[in-house]
Amino acid sequence: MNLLELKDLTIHYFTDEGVVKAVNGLTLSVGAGETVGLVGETGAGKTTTALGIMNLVPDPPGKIVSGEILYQGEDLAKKNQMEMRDIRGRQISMIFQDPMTALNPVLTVGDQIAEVIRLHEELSRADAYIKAAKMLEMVGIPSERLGEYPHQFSGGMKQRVVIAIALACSPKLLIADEPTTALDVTIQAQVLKMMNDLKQNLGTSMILITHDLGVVAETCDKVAIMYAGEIVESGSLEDIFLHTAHPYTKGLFESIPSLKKDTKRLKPIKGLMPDPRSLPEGCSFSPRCPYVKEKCALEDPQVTEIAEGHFVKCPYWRDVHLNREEL
Amino acid sequence: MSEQALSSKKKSMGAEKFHAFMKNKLAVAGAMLLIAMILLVALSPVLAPYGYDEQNYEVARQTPSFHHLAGTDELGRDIFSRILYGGRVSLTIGIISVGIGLLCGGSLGILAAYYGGITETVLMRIIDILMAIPSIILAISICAALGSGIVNTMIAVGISSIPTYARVFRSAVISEKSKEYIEASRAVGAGNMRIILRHILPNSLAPVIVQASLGVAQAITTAASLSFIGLGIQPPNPEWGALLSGGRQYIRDYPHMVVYPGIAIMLTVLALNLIGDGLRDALDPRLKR
Amino acid sequence: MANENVLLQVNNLKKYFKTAKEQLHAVDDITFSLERGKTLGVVGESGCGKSTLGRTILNLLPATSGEVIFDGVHVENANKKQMSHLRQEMQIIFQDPFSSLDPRLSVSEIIMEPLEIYHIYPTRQERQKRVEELMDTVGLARRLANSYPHELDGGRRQRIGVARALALNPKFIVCDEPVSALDVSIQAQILNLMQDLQEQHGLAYMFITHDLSVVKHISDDILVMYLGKMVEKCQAKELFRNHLHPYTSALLSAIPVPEIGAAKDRILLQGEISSPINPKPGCRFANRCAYVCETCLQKEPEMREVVPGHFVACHRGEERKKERKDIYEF
Repeated sequence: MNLLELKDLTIHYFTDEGVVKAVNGLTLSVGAGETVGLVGETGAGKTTTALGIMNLVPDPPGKIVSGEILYQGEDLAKKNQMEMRDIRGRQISMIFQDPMTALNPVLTVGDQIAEVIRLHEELSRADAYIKAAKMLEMVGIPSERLGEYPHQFSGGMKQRVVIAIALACSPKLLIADEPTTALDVTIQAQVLKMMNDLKQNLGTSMILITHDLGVVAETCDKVAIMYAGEIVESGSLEDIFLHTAHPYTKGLFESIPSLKKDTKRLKPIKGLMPDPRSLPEGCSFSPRCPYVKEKCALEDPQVTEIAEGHFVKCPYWRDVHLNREEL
Repeated sequence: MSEQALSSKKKSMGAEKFHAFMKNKLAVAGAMLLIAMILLVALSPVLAPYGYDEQNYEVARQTPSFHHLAGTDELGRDIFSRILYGGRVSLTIGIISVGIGLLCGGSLGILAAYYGGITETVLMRIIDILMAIPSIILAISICAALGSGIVNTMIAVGISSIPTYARVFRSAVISEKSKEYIEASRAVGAGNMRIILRHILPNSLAPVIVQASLGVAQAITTAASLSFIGLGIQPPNPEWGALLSGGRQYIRDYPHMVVYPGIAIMLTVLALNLIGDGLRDALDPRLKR
Repeated sequence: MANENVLLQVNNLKKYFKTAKEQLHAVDDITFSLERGKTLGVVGESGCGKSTLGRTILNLLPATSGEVIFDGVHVENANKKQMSHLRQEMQIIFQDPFSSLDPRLSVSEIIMEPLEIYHIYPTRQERQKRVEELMDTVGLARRLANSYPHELDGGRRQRIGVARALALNPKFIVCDEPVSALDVSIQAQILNLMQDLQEQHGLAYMFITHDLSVVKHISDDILVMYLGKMVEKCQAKELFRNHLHPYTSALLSAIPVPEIGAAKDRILLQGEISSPINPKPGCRFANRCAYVCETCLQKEPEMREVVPGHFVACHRGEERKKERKDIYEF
């Protein structure tokens, strides 16, 4: 059984300006010890999906309209806030993009780690601090710094503290929302390496939300590409990077300037992200798709499994596939 | 954002704020109340049943009746008419003195914040000195020095409100001037005046508008207090504060002489406060749903 | 300068910020020249002074010392009249398309502002016409002229910024992380646009970014900065093939490459960037450098031409050159 299974998850925000269709029929599974990369651009619904799993979608205006969030067979969408509080932090943890605002500036780092530990485990204050010190060492910060305040840490260090807090109660699943986007590349490299090591040592499953395909290539086992609240392609790292099958995925790869090859011009995806309040008819990528056929704007394409574990939401994947091989 | 969404819903920032304001029922009620007051007061020569200084000793100190809606005072003048006429003075004082405060305080605050350094230190210390004196005492001393009368009252109330507006403007400008678009317009060669008038001023107005709408209410009460202690408007000119002051010796036997002018002040202040709150909510982007 | 083609010459430019007790060396002794129609990429991590460099060159911040010569005119002590002329020739595009546009002005008002300031077109109709031309140039639909920035997405907003910068037909544009805030698909659109504009108008760019793949794509020359100092400067291709400074090498190897198994032998830098407040003598990178030696801690390295056209500020630049030759054989 998979650790987490999202089945046909749909989350909408009901605002004065209309219904924002943030997540539309999303299906995704995360196995034990697996790292799944959730890739997409601004407004693809990545963060909403994460909040949905944690049952933290701001309500109102947000609402899980339909679908199941099966965590070890239990549907989290049906749980109330009391039950969820027990799961958050202990079973599923989340780290956010901005480490600067995720920590409370008036509490010491030690206090903040110990607080989480004592919330979920019946430990004395002293024991909680001992464990907090261990956690800090684990993310590569000397435990003497336990009594320091967040402003005494640099950006990369703060993100390490945030990770220490998230891992303090040894959760089975970690949701990391753009954990390194706010960091410089050399610091990002340090944090990614640390996260990779921790993942291997602790066996934690992870959902890594990012827009950076480079980060995905380094950390993930499985990849799911999101567009307009749907997963348009998912599969193993090899499936996505070597046997790209969806036009959008291909467009993403071609938009990135390559370090290896000299390209005179980039091939951007034309047009813009659709407005989630009025998604296009049929396939939501069709207005921007270079492979678009008449049928695309009429009916929403089915998800097909083109190889074992490689799912694509495009009936014309063969065209893309061929094209990619030529590269 | 898709193309259709853009063209179908092209609202200016102002229209959007207006919409947000209109959604706040209390604020709209306040605005309607204020408009009603202004209409009544502006049309007082037509609406008032009697002149404001028309004395009739036969009906002195009458309680409210059909002929005298709010009763009469000790000289037999119709209180309702005096409230209507008095409102013209009170509202004018309120608006003009806020205007004076905005103009002087605003320029001081903007200059201090925009130029910074020694300019800011000198200007803000002067403001601090003004602030150290309670505004009512400041107004009293200015009134005492200039003499009483409508114009002097406005000046006194206006000057006493300068520090507030200077502070509000200064903090608004400081947060605006560090934004990148100011640098962007400097990069295309805009001068200081252009930057202040075209970019900084419109963008820092939001908190000031709120402060000003509350300030009108405050100015009316300050002017009323001045009249109350005999420094503001002189008899027989009616003014809400002066009405209260005139009636206070009869408060035990003829409470209507102070209650009705009091209600007029209260309603105006209430209306303005509701509008101020509504504006603050509408203009604050963080409260946007 | 003998070379007619040089548009911008920067000599020993310094910008220090003074606080009560300390001095922050944001830009420390930068020298480079930029030819007409070329692009210089300025690369570095946050706090290395790359944005301050751009603003100091444009005289948006006064220089502490050094020279900036634009088309024969000294920018750093230009008088008001000269500056007003220079502002038309040198422009800037900002990183954040949200905060760099006045929220209260409509798209056409924003693009029109420089035209109004310089009274280039006498009538409003002519200005309006020019605005429409500019909107066409940068690929903004004309019907958006009366929209407000907050109604548009990041890519469109950045196009407004580009149009505003182009309005006065400049020769040189400082691009301060113009695509960092954008999604990759939009980023590629804007990069292509900027390349097209460069070709059509013969623009010279100073392209400030932390993204090495973007800088490689767009630049002719690259300048790498660390804590206010230049550490390496050469042609873009040369830098990626033959980087000599240990910091450049670490920076390059830290980039996550979207290929499977790309980052196996990564150079991981220890520690974090300190801030350039009252810097100690010696190399500023010394405390994180794997090649550090005695000299590095005592003497500040100068920029030296180790390979023709390839400058590096490292005491061990020559050794590194040999070492790299073994790896890359050329």
